Amino acid sequence: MLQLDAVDCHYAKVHVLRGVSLAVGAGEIVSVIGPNAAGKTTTLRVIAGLKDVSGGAVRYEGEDVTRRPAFERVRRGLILVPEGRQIFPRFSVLDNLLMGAYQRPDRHDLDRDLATVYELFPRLHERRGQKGGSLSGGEQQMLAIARGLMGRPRCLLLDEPSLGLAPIVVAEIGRTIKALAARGLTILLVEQNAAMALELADRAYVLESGHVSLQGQASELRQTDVVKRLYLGA
Amino acid sequence: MTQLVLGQVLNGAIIGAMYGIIALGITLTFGITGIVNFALGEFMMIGAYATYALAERFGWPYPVAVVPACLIAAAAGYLANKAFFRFTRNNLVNGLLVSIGLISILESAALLFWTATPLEMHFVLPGALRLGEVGLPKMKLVVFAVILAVIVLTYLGLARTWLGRAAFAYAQNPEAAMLMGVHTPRLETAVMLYSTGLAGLGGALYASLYSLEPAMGGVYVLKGMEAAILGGIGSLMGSLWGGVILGVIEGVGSIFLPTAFRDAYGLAILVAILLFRPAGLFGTE
Repeated sequence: MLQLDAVDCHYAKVHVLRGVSLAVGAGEIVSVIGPNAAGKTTTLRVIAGLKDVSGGAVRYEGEDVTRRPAFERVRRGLILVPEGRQIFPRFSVLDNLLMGAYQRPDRHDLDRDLATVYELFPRLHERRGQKGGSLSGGEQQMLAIARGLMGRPRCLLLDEPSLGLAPIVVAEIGRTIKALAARGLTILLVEQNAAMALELADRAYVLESGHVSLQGQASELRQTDVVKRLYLGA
Repeated sequence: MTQLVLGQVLNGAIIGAMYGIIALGITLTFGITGIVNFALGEFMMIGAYATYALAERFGWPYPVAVVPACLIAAAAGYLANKAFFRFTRNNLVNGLLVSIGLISILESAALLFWTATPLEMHFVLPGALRLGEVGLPKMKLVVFAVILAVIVLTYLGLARTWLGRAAFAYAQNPEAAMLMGVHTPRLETAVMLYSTGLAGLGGALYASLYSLEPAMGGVYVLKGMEAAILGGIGSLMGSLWGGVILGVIEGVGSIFLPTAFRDAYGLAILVAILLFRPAGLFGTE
């Protein structure tokens, strides 16, 4: 469904991605783990179209989208929930959610979609009139995911959804991701929290200084010494 | 005396509404795209001279001339954005530099074409409505009504539509707006076209009431800026009321104080109001 072929990427002269290749099949949860500054977020920004590649290709649903602008990829259901939530602080929760459906041709009839995300995140229903900026970190993360879902993703990209959240909230987000996958949504999850990422994912990639150093079934990766030592703290 | 004061109130309100239309353009452009366009007064000047040319030289009826005049101003705005302004996002200093450059170029061009001699159009709509002792010139009432309608429609257009929601989203976080599927380059262009077209409309209306000079834009953009600050940057209705209040203060003040100082007492009131409401009359932050 989604495929990166030998993607190279630079910020000014810094070579942040060196020939990264990865693939996500329809209905899969795939994780990318790795230390800080390994290029995880850049990988997602390249996929979403926020960052230009300097080499290689991004394929989505069989088509080369490498040169397509970000807003066009969103319209095809390739939706990024960005790092640090990036919700609209002065919009109400409801307006944030509606904005998520901006690109949909049927955006005038969103009652069912709203009901679905409120069912997934009852807290957002309670706070629907409140300004996005007044929510707690965990609630903002829920809002960011819910806003992404309002766009009817076929492939959802999640960038560090656990970042800066209390363990109990992380667990809640994890359950939500599982629930979404159970409905058949394809998910690419980028996480520093390797334990969470490997537990949720079918397959995973380990990204180190801009290249894929390990890949495989999540259950197998969890058993490898390198991952245990470096990422799971065992 | 009543006649004099009321006349000045109306005069001030009309001129103030023109400040308001420039203020609206400034606040829209800055609030949504983060671009500072201090050259908006020049697009007003373009609209004014275009109206004059179409109506007086080509003999078009005034209402017919207004529409293409706005389009010409918007087209000039489009070019200015493509060539300069789009590179000045979120950079106040560069926006100012580009504005100052454009002001001198456009003003010089106008001098070359039209000379410094003030130009006046024929009366578009002569006569006045009489309310007791007070005569209200009909054209001034029309101009005021048009500006009021434009600002209210802009407000409704932004508050009630998906385009408006996208614009506010873009204003809060451009990248997140792009992730929602907003065609952000097009939105930015649209804001630029709208604000310069609006300034052109202000100029077209101005041409029906007052005489034209190449330097007219400079005064109006300063007053427009004052009006935007007075109303509260980012508040659409605030820009209108900021302009009207400023205009009325200047109009009524000039009855009692020397006219030469009208710019000064407008500013004095602005400072006084900002002392108590630093965010402006309608501002929130």
